[in-house]
Amino acid sequence: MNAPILELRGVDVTFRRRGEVFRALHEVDLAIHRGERIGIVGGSGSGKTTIARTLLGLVRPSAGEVLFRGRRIDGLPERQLADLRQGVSMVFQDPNSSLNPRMNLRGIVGEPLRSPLLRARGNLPPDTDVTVEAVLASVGLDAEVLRRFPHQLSGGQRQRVAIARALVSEPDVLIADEPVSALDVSVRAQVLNLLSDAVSERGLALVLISHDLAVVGHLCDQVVVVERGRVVESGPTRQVFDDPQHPYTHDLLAASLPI
Amino acid sequence: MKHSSLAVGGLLIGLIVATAVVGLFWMPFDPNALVGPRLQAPGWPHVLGTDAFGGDIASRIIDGAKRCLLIGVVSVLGAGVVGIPVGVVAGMSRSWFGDVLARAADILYGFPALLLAILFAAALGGSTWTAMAAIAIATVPAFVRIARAATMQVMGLGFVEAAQLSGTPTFQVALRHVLPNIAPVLGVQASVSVGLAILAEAGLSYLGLGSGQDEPTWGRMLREAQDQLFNAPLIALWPGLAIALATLGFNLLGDGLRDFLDPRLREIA
Repeated sequence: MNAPILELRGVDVTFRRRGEVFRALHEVDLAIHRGERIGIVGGSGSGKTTIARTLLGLVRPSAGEVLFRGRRIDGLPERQLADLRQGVSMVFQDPNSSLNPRMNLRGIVGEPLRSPLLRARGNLPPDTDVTVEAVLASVGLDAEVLRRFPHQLSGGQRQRVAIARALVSEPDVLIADEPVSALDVSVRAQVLNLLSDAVSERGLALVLISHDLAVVGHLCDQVVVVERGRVVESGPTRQVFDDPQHPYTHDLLAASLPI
Repeated sequence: MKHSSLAVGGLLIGLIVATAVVGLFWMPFDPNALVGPRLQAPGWPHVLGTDAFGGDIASRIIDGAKRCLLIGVVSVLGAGVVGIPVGVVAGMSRSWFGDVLARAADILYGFPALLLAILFAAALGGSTWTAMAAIAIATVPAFVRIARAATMQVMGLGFVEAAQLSGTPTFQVALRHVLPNIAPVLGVQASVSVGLAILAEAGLSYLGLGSGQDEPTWGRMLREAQDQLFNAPLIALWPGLAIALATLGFNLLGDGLRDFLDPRLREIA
């Protein structure tokens, strides 16, 4: 297989909380290849979100390496992360807080296009209404919402906006952290299908973080099981779900509803 | 009632602003001249009566309105221009620098405005400008504190991190994400601060640390009225009422603004 786009190599992450050292990740290895869909599962506090934040350069590992397109990005200052910011996008859990209530959709979705950091790299779509309308259309929103504000949309529509923002810079990797757990049950399937279509149409790699095994089973071809900051099992989703090797994976599967 | 405090506050301030504007063009009597017998009861032509020197109280109230507004608004603007950027920087900074700024503001907070005004008056002589400067400096920490607290709250929201991940420079994050979201809080603070500044100016004038002899302010009128409090209490009532209504007006406006500007509250209302 060719070289991974985004990679963690033996990453340790430690947090200091009131003098106490807390090890959030322990020797985590993870490789994300072009077009691959990886689900990261684990209980709350297992380190799933820390993995995402480390991949995005928001958390600095205390050991190990983070590589994007073969280049080390851990510890680099923000102004040297243009490639990463363009190439890796994030969809947050709760669209109520991830969208600025005082910006209209044109402003929100167009934000990556206005970034001087990303502009300096070149080959970014132009910051025009047309670009924003096209990406909004691709997530199923009409051009007429362009001047609307987040509070004028439904929860599902808001998460579509967040997905549109993540897609507008034409990235190679999309990281979604519990993208539907803050949404109404009735719109979850819609948003997941949208995410799935958006990823396959563009040939993006997807990193889906979820505690919901059904969601991961539905969307991902690879799965990584995390327990207390360690990767305890990984492999093709079917194989791991049908024949779990680690007792923690067993417990997770037993605790989740039948798929 | 929907937006009733905004309406009442706006009405009170509108009244004071209208009074000040009228005073620029027309005045029943020269506010600094001795135009009638001393200590006259309200009647005609002196609608609110005359003071201990025979000055027309209505004219002096009208003349004082513009001075009070000017001092209140200018000192708060000055405090905001200094305090808000400092507070936002302190709130966005994740290092010790933010804490240092916040502690510096606290130290300034602990320094009484009155002492500052006395200091200024002693060094530069009491005037409208020294009063304004003293009030402005004393108001800065309030803006630093509120701007910092509101900024820290906004920084914890996802859209700030999303902006960073979109490659938005820190300055743009402050301008486009932080400021618009803390603006309602700052507006409320500004409005309340103008009320407090008018009150503070009245206090300074009362002590003779404010405007000069020929520049009547409500606080100064209150002091002049105090000698006659037992034989002509009404003289103290008018400027006192003016100060109370102005302070109340700006406070109500602040409360009303907060309800009105918050898009989420607007949906519910």
